[in-house]
Amino acid sequence: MLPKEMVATAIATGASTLREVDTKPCFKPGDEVRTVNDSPATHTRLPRYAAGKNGTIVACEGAHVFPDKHGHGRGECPEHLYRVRFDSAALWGSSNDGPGAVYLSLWESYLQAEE
Amino acid sequence: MHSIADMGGMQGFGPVVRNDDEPLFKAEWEETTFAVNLLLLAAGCFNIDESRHSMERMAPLEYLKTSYFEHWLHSLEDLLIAKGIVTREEYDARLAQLAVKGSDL
Amino acid sequence: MSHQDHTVPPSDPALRIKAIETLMVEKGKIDPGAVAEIVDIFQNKLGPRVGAKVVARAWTDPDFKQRLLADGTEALKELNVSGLQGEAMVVLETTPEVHNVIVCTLCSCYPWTVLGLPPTWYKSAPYRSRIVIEPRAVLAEFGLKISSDCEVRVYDSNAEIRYMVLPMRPDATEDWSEERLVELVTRDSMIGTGIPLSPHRS
Repeated sequence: MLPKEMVATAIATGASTLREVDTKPCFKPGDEVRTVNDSPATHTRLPRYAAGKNGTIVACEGAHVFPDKHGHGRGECPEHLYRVRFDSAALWGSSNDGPGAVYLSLWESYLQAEE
Repeated sequence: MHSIADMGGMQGFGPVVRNDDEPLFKAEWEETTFAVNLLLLAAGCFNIDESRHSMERMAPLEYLKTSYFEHWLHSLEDLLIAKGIVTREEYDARLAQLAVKGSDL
Repeated sequence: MSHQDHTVPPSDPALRIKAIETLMVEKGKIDPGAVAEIVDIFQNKLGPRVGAKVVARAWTDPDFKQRLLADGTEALKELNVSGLQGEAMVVLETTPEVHNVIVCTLCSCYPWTVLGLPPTWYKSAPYRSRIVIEPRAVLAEFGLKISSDCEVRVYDSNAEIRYMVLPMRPDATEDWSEERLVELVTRDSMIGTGIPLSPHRS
């Protein structure tokens, strides 16, 4: 139970999901990737609009708690997280409304190397 | 899951309606829901990923008809009962008690 | 039995949260006094003014701006900005060539430490669904026209990385103090659905 006196500190501290892992990141900025084309009925943070799409790694964000497991009480299972850029045309085809891109934070198991 | 919550790119929702004068919380129950949710997360009753998954499992019509804090309220009921922190009977009994008390809320 | 005939339907949110709150207090999961503490912090201490001060500092202090863009989390700690839903901050610089805008399509995640709690429109189905696929149309509804020479980048906050937009400094403010500049920085300009106020209007 969080006592009233600790509330301000708790809010100022937050609950970081960053974790240390033994493995090195599989990808680096500039790498071309393709997201998995999967439709799990369980919790995932890969939106449907970005499944099975080509993107580019923009940054490595460290290893973070993995919601797909953590959301089902299976432990934190942290994985490397990446900032990935998807050109609007890659996501929406000719229906995109002008030069643009969508950026997502994606865990390593959502990604496969492309080319 | 490809739930109703996974709505990026869905078409047909119409214009973004803004109300620049709205208060942070529209009613006291929203404040309480917000705070209770954070406190129960802090107490380790459930984690934020379980909470999000609970919300995305709401029936689509309910999800679209209800507000952000009603989604949070749904996930509190869902998780506390699913995890046995509160039983359905206890919860229903408390609801009935409070309903009788009426405006003492 | 109460003589009051006021009955509330069981689906009333006020009734439901009262039931949960009272049960959780009885079970020792919640300190009843903590609820008011949390509400007070979000009503009175957190909010877009925090972010506005960060923007004004970045506009007037180029070294701070560089640190802010390189590592948002660490630079914000210099200003005592840190914590819940802001543990991993990335600040996005809007330029004449790149316009940034943030969303959380899956659930409404938002950078609480710099902007407080999100407005209703940010959490709404129209915004969450449309900003990723037709950002220019949505921004136009907000009164913002983006030229075709400018790329629109939509950051979908689907993990715990939280974003804040560093908007462009308005023209004709070269000699403005940091305190005065704070007043020009709107909440929408830090989400990316607006731009800062112009000095001629304020």
